[in-house]
Parts: sequence; C-alpha cells; structure tokens
Amino acid sequence: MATSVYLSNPVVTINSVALTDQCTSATVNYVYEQLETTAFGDTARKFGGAAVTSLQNNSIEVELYQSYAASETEATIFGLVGITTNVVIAPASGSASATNPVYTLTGCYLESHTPINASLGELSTITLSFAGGVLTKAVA
Amino acid sequence: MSKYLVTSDRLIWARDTVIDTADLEHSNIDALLAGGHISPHKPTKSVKTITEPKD
Repeated sequence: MATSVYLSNPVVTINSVALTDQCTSATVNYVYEQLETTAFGDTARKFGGAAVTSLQNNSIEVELYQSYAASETEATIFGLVGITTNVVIAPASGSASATNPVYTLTGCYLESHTPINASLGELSTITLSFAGGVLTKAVA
Repeated sequence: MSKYLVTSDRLIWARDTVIDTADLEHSNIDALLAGGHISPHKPTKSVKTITEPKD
C-alpha cells in the first residue's frame, strides 16, 4: 500500500532553538546547480556527469507565528539576520532513522526578516528563507 | 573556552545547564545571548575568610 506523508509534528530548530510550536510550514530544498556538459558530437543536452561536481545551492523556508515574548520567535530570529546559522528539520520528534530523517542545513544565511507583519484580526506570521549552507541527512 | 548558562526552555539542554562553546558549534552565540536563551556563566568562588592570628 502506498504511503503518504502527513506532517503534524515535525521538529524545527533554528540556531539550536526549538521553534516547532511556532511553526506552520517548512520546506527543505536540496539543490546541486545544473552545469551543462554538452559537447560536440552529442545529440542531446547533458548536465553534470561523473567527473563534474557542481555547487550545492540549498535553502530552507519556514513560516512561523510571530511572538514578542521572551525566548520566542522575535527574540530568536532578530539577531540572525545577516549572519549564518544552522537549521534542523525532521519529520517527527525522536531520534534520526530511515523513517525519520533529520535534515541539517549548516552555515545557511538569513538575509531578511519582517519583525512586523500584521493584519487586523489575524495572527501575525513571518516567513523566513535560509539560503546556502551544506545540507546533511542523518538517518541514524 | 567560554561557558554559558541555559536560560530558556527552547534549547535541547535543560534550563540552568552549563554548556560551552563546543556545544554550540555552528550556532550563532551572539544571537542566542541577545535572544535570552543563554547567558555568560561565571562560576562563583567561595570566599575564604582570613583571620588575623591572635597574639
């Protein structure tokens, strides 16, 4: 039987701070830049190859509820703008395993943050994009 | 190596745990300090009372 992923309790840690209970969305993008290796004699475009290793261009996007209380979202995020940090995301709590891989983006850069993003009658949320860094996947 | 006291419930270490720089590898310590998650840990030394010998 096919299985589907239903994320209800993933783990989101930013700069070693657990923000799972403030998070509503998380996306991990694992990217190796596409380098063309097509040459004379080829009849179709080629990219990459055994001897061609391109740069990783990873990113993580998260959406968080904003909170100005002590040790909450704003206190954790504001100081990270313009510097590098680490972000850890796993599908579920508990230790890393094949069915609960833990993705760590080390050395990623947070370019911007919107300290105030509010509308009347709605909970304030922020969307963060962490760019760059090395992505590792732990399964044990 | 600097030591820090955990002052938040959002780190993997329990509040009041003393950690050091190696524990926070790849994390930005300044941001954690600014966010109130940790504070510099200064171990307290017991003060010895010096008493003058009686003549």
